[in-house]
Amino acid sequence: MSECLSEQQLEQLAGGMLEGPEAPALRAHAESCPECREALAEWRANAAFVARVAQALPGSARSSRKSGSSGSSGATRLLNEALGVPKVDAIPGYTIIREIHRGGQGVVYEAVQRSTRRTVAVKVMIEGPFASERARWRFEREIRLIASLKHPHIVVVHDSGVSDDRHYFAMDYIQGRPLDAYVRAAGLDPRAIVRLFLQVADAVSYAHRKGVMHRDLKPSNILVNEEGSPFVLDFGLAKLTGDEALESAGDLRSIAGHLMGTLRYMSPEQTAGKPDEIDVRTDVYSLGVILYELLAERVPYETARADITTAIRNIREAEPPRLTRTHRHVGSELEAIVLKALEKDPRRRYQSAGELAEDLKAWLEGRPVAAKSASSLYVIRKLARRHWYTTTMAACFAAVVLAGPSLWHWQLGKTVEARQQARQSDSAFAALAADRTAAEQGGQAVRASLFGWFLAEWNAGRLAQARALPFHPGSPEGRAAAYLLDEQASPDRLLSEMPERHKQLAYFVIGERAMKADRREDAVAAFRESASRARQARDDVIFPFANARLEQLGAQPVPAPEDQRAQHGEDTPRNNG
Amino acid sequence: MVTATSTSLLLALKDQDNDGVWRVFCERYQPLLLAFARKLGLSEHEAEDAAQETLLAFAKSYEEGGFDPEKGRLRKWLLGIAAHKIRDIQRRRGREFVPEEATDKTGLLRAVPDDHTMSEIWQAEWERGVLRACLEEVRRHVEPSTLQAFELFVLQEWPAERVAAHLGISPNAVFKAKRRVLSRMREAYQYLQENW
Repeated sequence: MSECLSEQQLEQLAGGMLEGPEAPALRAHAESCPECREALAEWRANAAFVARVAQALPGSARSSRKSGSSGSSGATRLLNEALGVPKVDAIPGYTIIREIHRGGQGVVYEAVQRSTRRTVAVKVMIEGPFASERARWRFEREIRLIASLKHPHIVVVHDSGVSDDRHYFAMDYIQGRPLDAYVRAAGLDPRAIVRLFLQVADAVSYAHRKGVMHRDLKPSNILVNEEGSPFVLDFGLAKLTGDEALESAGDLRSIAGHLMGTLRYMSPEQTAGKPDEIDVRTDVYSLGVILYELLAERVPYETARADITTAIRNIREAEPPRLTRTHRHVGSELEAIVLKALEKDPRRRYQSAGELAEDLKAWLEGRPVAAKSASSLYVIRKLARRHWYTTTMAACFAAVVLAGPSLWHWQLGKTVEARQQARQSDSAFAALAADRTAAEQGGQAVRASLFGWFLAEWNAGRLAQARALPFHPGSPEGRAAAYLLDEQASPDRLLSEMPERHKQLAYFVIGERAMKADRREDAVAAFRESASRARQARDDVIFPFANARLEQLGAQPVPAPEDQRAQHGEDTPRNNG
Repeated sequence: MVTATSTSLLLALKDQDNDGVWRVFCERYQPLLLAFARKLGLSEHEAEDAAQETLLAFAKSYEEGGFDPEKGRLRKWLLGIAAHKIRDIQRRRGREFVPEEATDKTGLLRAVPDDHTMSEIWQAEWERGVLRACLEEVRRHVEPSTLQAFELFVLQEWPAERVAAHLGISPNAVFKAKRRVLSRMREAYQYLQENW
């Protein structure tokens, strides 16, 4: 009995390519040997399959005429082309093993770095070559920065370059699953989720300190390995590749191609098309979305199915549903942390990933969290949203204190300190008391914020709440509040009691009452007087609001002093405590 | 068979909160739509637009009951939407269609694709999608070493001897790996061709 055919011979036989003097003998054997016959039948069926595929792919016919220098037949070459598999040798120094992922940004391969025999992940970006030398220089500088990140939870980038006009990066190969999939599969409770998430926040905070922003944080960029250790991927790649989609969605088209999931982690400022407003707080926001999603098992706003315009509007305007309503076990403090990270206005968010991490640590250890004490602001905003015209007023009055000095160029050292103490005691009441303490110390802005709150309550008709706010009875705000709370109170009496330099406040509340009573002429007169006096007294709090009221009533606003800008810039009152 | 059939995907999509299924759906058909749009001469951005808009339009019409899997095939339905979106985009930019392949050869041919051409390109892209799904299917069912031999030999077009030396196996084993993987792909294809 003759020897069995090799697989190669069987393939050749199946394709009618077996030639040479031995061919007839081999053919005879293949027909009599059951094993060979079976294998031959399989080869034939496979050949038919490949031919069938080739037929369905008319585009491939063209290339089939190219010579096949390798061991594979012309037909399988078609298959190869149909699959669009990259060549392992495509990247110098690496052997590509397999494709791991194909996304909007590029393709990720598992590969071996030949010099070190290290298994790495190589990401080949879709973008084309550098536009200029300058772009190349910027790219190289950025990649050095990224490569300098050494953190236990950041995937290390080892190498980068350009091959075939495409950027590529070689980084640690992490065998793991995306953060959200991991959390779902592991069925973690909120504490365990926060512990895991804290490592991510720490990693992001570390990178921020090194001057690297991520800009594209999302669960699929965070892999958790078998030991439950998270790794943040693709640090800085968004900026590095000049991926405008991730810089901002100003050009709506540019975000369209990213997988549906990407948009939902984008911050309001990223959707606003103002790349210069993007900073570390953008990453804080994305972290907020991720944490919300992990805890709630749902997204804060609908972005996936909505059209882009709606999705972006949701990101900019929609309030995320309260976590505690659907997930009681999350608790109001953790909710406050998530909501603070998700604030639309970057100034109201945690100012860094480090602050967010700190608060999460505090929560884990049962210490009071900073986010919670800011919730008075949340309350004000909620009130304000329902009564729109007080909106700006209440929020801005409040922001003077809560958002800190940058807003009004005021350094309220003492106020800030008092509020921080209040935060420690984690109660809105203590925060109020701190406001009062600071108010008594003479911080006009602080009193103004409390007064803004008062106005919001008063305008909403919640007089009991308005009464409960702790004004010093003899203070200008105390007198103004008393006037609004007592319908019998006379405006003349208020004016006579109010010190000269606070008369703008008196006229303001007189206007408020007149406005509420629909006495337009009186209201206009009072607000005009208020605005003029505020301008005279350089009262930057009352002035814009009195003017806003005038506009609202359809009256001419009082022109701003010409040197106001200069006043803000140079003559800013400072108090560094 | 682990790959979900389009029928089962569509069924699961009926559950409005099923974000995961929606994602699988997008991940499956987006590359196909992108390739299709590129073939029809759209720029990268435009192709991304077309793919996104097609998927969103599909989701919307599906939710509203506009697509009945009993009555037509997903393949045809998606083509209908995609063709419409792509023509929209071409109209918007006011440029004429420049088929990639045609310009490669002549640099001259400019014509709006007729339905037949579109349908042919679409068929080919669909076929590619099915083939990729088949390979994924095989990935789950054969030994990693077998798959690797196949990939290096067939997909990377290394000579059998080089693959054999690289993996420390005989050249015969390399051919055998090719036979096995092709057979598994063929089996998967028989099923997925109709159901992907």
